[in-house]
Amino acid sequence: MSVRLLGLSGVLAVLLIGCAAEEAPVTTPVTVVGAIRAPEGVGAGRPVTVNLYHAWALEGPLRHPLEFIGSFPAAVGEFRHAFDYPVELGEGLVVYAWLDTDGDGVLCTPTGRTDIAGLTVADAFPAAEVALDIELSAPCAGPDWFFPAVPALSAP
Amino acid sequence: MPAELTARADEFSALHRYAVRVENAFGGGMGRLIAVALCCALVLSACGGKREPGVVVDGQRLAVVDLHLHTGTFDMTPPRFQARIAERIPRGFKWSMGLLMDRWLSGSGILGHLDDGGVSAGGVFALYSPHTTGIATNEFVAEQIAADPSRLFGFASIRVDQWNVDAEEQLAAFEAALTELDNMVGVKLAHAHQQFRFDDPRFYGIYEIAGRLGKPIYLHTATSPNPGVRMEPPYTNPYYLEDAIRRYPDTIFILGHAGWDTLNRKLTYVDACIDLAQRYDNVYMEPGALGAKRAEQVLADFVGRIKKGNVAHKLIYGSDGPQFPGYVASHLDAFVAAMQAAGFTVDEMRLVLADNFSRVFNMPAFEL
Repeated sequence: MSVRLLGLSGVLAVLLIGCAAEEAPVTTPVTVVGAIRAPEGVGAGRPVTVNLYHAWALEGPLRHPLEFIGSFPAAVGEFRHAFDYPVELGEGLVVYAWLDTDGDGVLCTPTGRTDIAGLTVADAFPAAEVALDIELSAPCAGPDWFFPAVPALSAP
Repeated sequence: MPAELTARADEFSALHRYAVRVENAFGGGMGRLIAVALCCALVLSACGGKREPGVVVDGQRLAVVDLHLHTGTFDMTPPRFQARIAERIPRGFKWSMGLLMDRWLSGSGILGHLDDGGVSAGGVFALYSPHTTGIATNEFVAEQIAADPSRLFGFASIRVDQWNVDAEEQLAAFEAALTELDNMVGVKLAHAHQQFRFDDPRFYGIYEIAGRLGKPIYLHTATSPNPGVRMEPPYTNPYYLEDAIRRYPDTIFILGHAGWDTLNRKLTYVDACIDLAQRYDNVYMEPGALGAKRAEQVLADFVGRIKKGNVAHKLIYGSDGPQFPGYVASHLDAFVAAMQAAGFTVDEMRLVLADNFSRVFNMPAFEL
């Protein structure tokens, strides 16, 4: 094998197996505390699923709302949850929750329409601890039902 | 100059410009080496060879139309999906991904994939999925299908991620795309990728416009292995769409992937799709990606269910290509072989491969 061919093979090998491993996303610890509220007598003891989102992510035409961060189980009442907020993958914090009133594990079916949802935007963010309440009232609503919100009408 | 030669000249011109950029960036020797490697990759990617159009079944040559093809650019692809695409490229060559993707997914590139597979024509999808697979605007699709309007047909889409804020504006732009851009024959939606529920009535205006304009809607059903896609039943289970199907009888709904749960490699929602296609005149199915390697364990079962359900007249062939060089052809080969093994008649295969497309999209039959 000529030196040139050996060199070429070496360079190709470096190209093929070089490159560092992917870096882990940069995160910062955040705790969310507050209360989840539902109409009295609705879904007592039933599970609540809480989803955390960046309010916005990416730039230019790809900029979009509601970039999913993570999820955790909760119940109606007070809650507290600590998580690692991915700093570079988006901005802001939106907390969405839904109550599984019939316990079937899914936010409404074509015939079962009693599950309810709500969403709160964390106004004071970034912060290490975020306090907010979530009111569950909209049936079968995904997070995009609430956010970004319908623009307020200006006064006549 | 013939269109094909013009396209090839464009490709080599782009390749030359890119090679010069690489050479400048890395310096003489190294740059040349990388450029050579890039050329090799591109040459290898174009080695499929042009097939005679159509597929031969029982001595008869049948035309093929591929309803489901994607276009786009690397720059308009979110970083997570860029990383997923780049998994197919050896580590040291990932930097070449942008050039390769833009070339594979261009109008002339798609025509090359169709030629490699012996496919007469194809549907090319616009995409407004900034959370997941990115953006290919209606205007961009119109530019790509202009490469050969007799073989490439556009499917317009609509942006829905800020619907409370700009629904009226988006609906107007969507209707304008369908009426003013050349060769837009249908609509492409992907609820799971675009993060909106099948049963959310705020979006029913999209179905109304499509029905009024006579533009069939292709929509993704079931799951996807792509990052960020919603997997819950309201975004994936076609039964959540039944209310809209019932309310808009003049709108044709083509259930993409026919309920193939590609993430879990199961036929999770296939029976639901067949059931809807049996009960509603305005429901059809498309088997995109069921001819892929990932689905080889379930393909025979899938075509068997189509045969047993007597819904060959409701299945419109599509591949979900181009994906990678050779995919359009290999998907077709696998799907045709599965239909033959399941006992499809020549007439049934003719329907699936081209005639259902012609009928639903109100076009003349494709001749070979």
